[in-house]
Amino acid sequence: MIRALVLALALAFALAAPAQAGILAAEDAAELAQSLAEAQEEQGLCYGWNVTNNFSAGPDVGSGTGGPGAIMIPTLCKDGWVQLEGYIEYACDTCESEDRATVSISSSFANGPTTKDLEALGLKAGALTGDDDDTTLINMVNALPLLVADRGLAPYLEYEQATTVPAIDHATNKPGSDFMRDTWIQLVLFFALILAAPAFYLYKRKQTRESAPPVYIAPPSAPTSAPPPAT
Amino acid sequence: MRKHAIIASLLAGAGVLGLIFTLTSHGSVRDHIAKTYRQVGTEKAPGKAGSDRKDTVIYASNRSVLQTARDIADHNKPADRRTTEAGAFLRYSDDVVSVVPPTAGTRGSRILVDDEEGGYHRNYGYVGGFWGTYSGPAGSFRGGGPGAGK
Repeated sequence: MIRALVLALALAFALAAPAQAGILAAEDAAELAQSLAEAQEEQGLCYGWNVTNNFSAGPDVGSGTGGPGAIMIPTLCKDGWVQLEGYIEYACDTCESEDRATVSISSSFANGPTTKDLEALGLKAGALTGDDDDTTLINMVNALPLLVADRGLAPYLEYEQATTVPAIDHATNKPGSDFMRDTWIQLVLFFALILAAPAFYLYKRKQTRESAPPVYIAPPSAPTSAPPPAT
Repeated sequence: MRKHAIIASLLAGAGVLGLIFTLTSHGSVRDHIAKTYRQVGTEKAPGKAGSDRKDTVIYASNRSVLQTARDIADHNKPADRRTTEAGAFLRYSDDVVSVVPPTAGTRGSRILVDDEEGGYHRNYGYVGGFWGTYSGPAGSFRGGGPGAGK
């Protein structure tokens, strides 16, 4: 019932939304709200997100109960609730300050999930000002039911393997070498050491030569005409 | 001069030793998971058949989904990752690692190691549109919003 209601709300919102607020496209927000509604149905907890900013007409906001654009109302969630909150600030072009973002997780639980849990999954607030800001926000919000289950506050949602995949769909943008990704810092460091060795030696040799006192070469002495010693 | 030559030799030696250690000690994420976790099964990988395809290998971890995903990602940095309500998915050059909840009645987490094709097919509902094409519901928009205000 909740799923159907949220889906209807989401579709209505996606069709009616005049302009994108925040960093999420209306369609992404609708799909996100739907996944939270499904989590709510399984776990009995409410989920939502509310990320304000300084660059658009409205915040990124949505919830499993109200759909995209609707802020979660904690008092309606008697079994518990969890919400991602944040703020994204883009610095002006002429300002010296940098773009910044903060996130926090509010919940009705004393031992609820925290932003450290998100960071453990590689989801850092700073990424909300990067090129993948929307994907980062989707990942953060999507992770909430998993984090709650991880802390034993609700059961895990069942992992469902895809049964049918359209033949035209496939993975793209194959990642680069795993070896280089894992070791490039060491490789750069050790190559630098190898290159530094002859550079150091040549520098020191030059330094030594320049600082050495000039060598005095004595003029050849006049040949002596002394008679050989008598034997 | 002799002292400087010795120092230079030590620097070069440290660099060469470090390079050798780096080249010989690095293992793939498959190797790491095989050494660290308990294998509980294999199954035919989803997707098109092919001679270069690898079976899916399934492992069990005593640690939770979050902790297991973090442990694996800390050891072998993924190129991309997707976190969803039902698991954490790590993408590598040739492999996809899915860390998902345990089967009912057990604790810890399950780890599914697939090749790229298998991982994309298996987790299409979670990574479709993020790591590749997606023609499912709302497919043309999924995970790719342009982001405003930048």
